[in-house]
Amino acid sequence: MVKIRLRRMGAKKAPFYRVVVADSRFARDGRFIEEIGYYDPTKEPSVIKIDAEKAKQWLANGAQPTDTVRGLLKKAEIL
Amino acid sequence: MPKPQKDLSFSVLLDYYAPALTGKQRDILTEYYNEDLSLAEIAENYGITRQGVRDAIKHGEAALRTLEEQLGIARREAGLQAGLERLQQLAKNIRVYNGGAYAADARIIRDTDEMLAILRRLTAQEDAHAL
Repeated sequence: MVKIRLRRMGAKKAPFYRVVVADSRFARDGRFIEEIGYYDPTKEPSVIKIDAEKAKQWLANGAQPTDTVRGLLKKAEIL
Repeated sequence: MPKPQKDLSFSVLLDYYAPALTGKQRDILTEYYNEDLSLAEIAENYGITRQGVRDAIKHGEAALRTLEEQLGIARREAGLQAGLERLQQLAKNIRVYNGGAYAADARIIRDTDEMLAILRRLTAQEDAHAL
């Protein structure tokens, strides 16, 4: 199954997440298909930047967002 | 009712206290918070049940919370970092004031130079514990 999930980047005190499209079978090795945006919770207010076109495209193709990403998509008014 | 969101602040606590957790707790919490895997996916990776994963995560979270309550490293470092950044700003302000209407005082330039150098070093040290 193709999933849309977060992937943590950034440094010790500065978490920074990429929103990536990944195959759940590759969950373990961290391989991903495409990066469609990012989420920066360290800013006030936190910054969510997601390519709406690509997100909608992937959702239409049956990609499942994780609960966390679903929340972000709602905040970014894509869902 | 939407499902409760993952509390990503555990991800920061994990940075500080990961070495104090058991290997399995550490691996599972990392996959859950940093890779955003679902319970089912983690269960599959380790060949255990979803309930088992959930228990491991809950235990791990409790351990992180206890460590932070007792040691407060994350809290203290956050305060320290904010203080360092503020000091850096103040030192820069002083330099700007010094370059105002009167001739700049060389001693103020020298001392603020040193302050900024020290602050830069301290900030760099903090960042050196990067992932």
